[in-house]
Amino acid sequence: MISVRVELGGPFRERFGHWHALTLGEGATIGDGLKRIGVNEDLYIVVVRNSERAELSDILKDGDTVVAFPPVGGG
Amino acid sequence: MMRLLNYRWIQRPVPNPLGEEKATGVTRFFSDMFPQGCLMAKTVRSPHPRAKVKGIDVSQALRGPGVQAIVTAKDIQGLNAYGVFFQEAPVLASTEVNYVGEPLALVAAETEEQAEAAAEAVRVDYEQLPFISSMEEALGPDAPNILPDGNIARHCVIEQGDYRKALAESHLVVKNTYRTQKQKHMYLEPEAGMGYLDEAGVLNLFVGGQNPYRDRLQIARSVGLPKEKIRVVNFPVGGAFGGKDEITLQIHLALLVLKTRRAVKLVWSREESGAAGYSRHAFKMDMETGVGRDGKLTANRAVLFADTGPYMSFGPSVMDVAMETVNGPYIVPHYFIEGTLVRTNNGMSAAFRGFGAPQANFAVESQMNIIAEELGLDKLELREKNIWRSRARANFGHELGNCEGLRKCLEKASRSALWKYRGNIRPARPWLKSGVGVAVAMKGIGFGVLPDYPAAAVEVHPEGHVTALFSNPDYGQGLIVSNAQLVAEKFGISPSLVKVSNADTNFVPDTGGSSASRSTYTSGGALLDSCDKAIAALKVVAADALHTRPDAVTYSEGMLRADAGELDIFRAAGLLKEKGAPTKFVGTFAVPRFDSPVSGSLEIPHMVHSFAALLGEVEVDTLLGTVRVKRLLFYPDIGRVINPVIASAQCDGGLMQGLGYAIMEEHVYDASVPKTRNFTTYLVPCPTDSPVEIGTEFVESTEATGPFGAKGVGEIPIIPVASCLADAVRDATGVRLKQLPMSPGRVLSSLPDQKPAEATA
Repeated sequence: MISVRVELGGPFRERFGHWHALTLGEGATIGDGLKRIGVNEDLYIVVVRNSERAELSDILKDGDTVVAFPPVGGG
Repeated sequence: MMRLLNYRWIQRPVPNPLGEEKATGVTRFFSDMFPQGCLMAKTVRSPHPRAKVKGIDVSQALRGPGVQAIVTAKDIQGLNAYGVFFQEAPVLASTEVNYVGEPLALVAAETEEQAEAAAEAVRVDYEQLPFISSMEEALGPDAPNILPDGNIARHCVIEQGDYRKALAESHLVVKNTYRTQKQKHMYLEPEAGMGYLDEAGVLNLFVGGQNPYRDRLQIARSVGLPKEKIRVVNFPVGGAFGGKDEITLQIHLALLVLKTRRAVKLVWSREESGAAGYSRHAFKMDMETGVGRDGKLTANRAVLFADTGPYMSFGPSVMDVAMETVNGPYIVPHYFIEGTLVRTNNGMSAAFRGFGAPQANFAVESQMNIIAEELGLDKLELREKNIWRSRARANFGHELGNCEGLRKCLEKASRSALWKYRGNIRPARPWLKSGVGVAVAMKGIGFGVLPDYPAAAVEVHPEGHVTALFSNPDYGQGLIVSNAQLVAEKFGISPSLVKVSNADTNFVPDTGGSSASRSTYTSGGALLDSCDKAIAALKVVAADALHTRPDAVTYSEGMLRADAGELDIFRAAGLLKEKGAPTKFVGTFAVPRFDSPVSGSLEIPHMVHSFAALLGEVEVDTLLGTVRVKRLLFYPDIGRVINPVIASAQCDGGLMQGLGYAIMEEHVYDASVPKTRNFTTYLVPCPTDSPVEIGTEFVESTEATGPFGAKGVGEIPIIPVASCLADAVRDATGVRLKQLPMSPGRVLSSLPDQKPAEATA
């Protein structure tokens, strides 16, 4: 099993909460982790792992920190 | 005078080749592209501010000569809605329209005339509904709901301390209501794009936008294609100013290309841009500001309303920035800030240079000037008593960074001859009145607490050059050149050896868009990281070639050196290539964010800010009510200045756009019908409106988290102009206007009655 932290940003925060600590099976992807907390936005999402851009299909490692958010903007 | 530090290529006026190309008409924008066999498209739009759509009949239009396709909502495979934050606006309306210009159908034909005729032949059966033409109406008890969730799109309150008690105990309380108008972007190139499907089935879209990767995801979401099957190119764009930050015609173009399987071009006319394009939000701001006998602010109560049109788009962000700005860059111990984003049928408001900051700045800086007058204090001295101090706890609970530049802006303004001798200006005619005004401004860099992880890349080519790759579009800011300078400085090579690949999802990493004064800060940060990664990899391959350890290799000015010899980065890149190793290096930058966002907001607070002080001199014609701006002297802190000529040009442009906002520009709606759709009815400043003197003097400042200390310059110039000029008009005439624009009619009607005999003496 692996432990990861997931932060949700922008409008996702209001819908899915701010921070989540997840325990997942070996080989779980970022997409798997996000689905666990209800984030199932296959298309309109940006994911970052340990401050580097990542894909939903990337395999998670123990201790990873993932940030997921819709591609926002602002001023 | 800016001191040159030990830099070779930054802080230098490296010429922008795009400037000459654009000025001489060489640049081909998307609206200038006429590929062979390209279909021309037109949009069917609502003439009504609010109506039920009972049916759309395209049968007659389809029979028109040259017509190849008509697209309606039925053709949309994915989500028939768009919006960066909340997906409210239909891509194509099908059951109801909520503003004049709302799109319902798209037509593609062999020629523009055929497309136009077919668009006119599309029959839409409307049942007109009661519409809402003002915020007051929208909030009234009997107002119909524009959308099912009501006419309040967003509501947020931020409160600290006990503002009621603080106001009650204040030496002076200044209470006023300020109103600002809708402003149009009026870019030289209206919304435009061209698209086609390539042999691999990839949808290629060359379109005026500000964020190619985000556009791509919004397109994918609506057309039902995987993002990998869509390429978006956002360069070159003929101006944007925020008006192309949200989706305009990108999804429409994609739908047309997918339906016709041919190249399609879609360009909005100026009138379409005027009606269906976005505007700056109009605001109403009730302000109550308290101050102690010592001139220290005690409390601020700000109740803000903004007209966002029927759909929110960037409205939440605009309101957030206004709420963050309405205390100014001042320490306010007690405050109550309430923001309400109101739906109306007055067309969509969205992003515009400064977001809500120019509006809120007009309110808070007018309050500061009134307070100074009431207390008999010098206006800059009042600011000096209250400004943020470095590393102090800011209004929203976060620790401020380096604010030293803000104090320097005030110092420079107070030392200027215009400020020192402002009482000595004598107009040439008795009916002309001269005055000098002042305002201070702040603008957060980037998206505040919203996550922002830009990526960029450099590629070192054995042929002898480096490519910098980033997605923030250069739509006129000069980013192409300033980023080349950053990379040149980092590598120690000439900027002429740095090529740029910009804003193309096929070739560059996702750096995000050009908005929020973030382009230099974010792309620069990510590019410098990619340079570091490149140099590290080149050291390894050089060490191998020089038979030494990587840590024994030094790097400077394009050369990798060790005791055994040296080689340049291009030769080293060749060695990497021979080994099959990558020569392109992706770098990232995590924009610093505050941990604890303000409840109810999306992006408050920001951690890094640009600052400025502005002095303005006006001459008011008391017979005609015209305001002639004679001088604008601008003292900004934008961090390290990468290219002084480009940064000054950004300031000149922002100041002129602010001048227009202050005294002439207004997008007028009459019964929710836009009346100012082109340059005949919508006035923008012309060369003859330009001040006699317009100048920028940057203060020396560096931002620890910025590339070589840079922050951002895109928005700060426009923010203080209206409040500064309102102060100058007050100094000239004794009358302080609290509503924009300060047009001749408004100025004249605010002046005390003129006695003709005296006025013409």
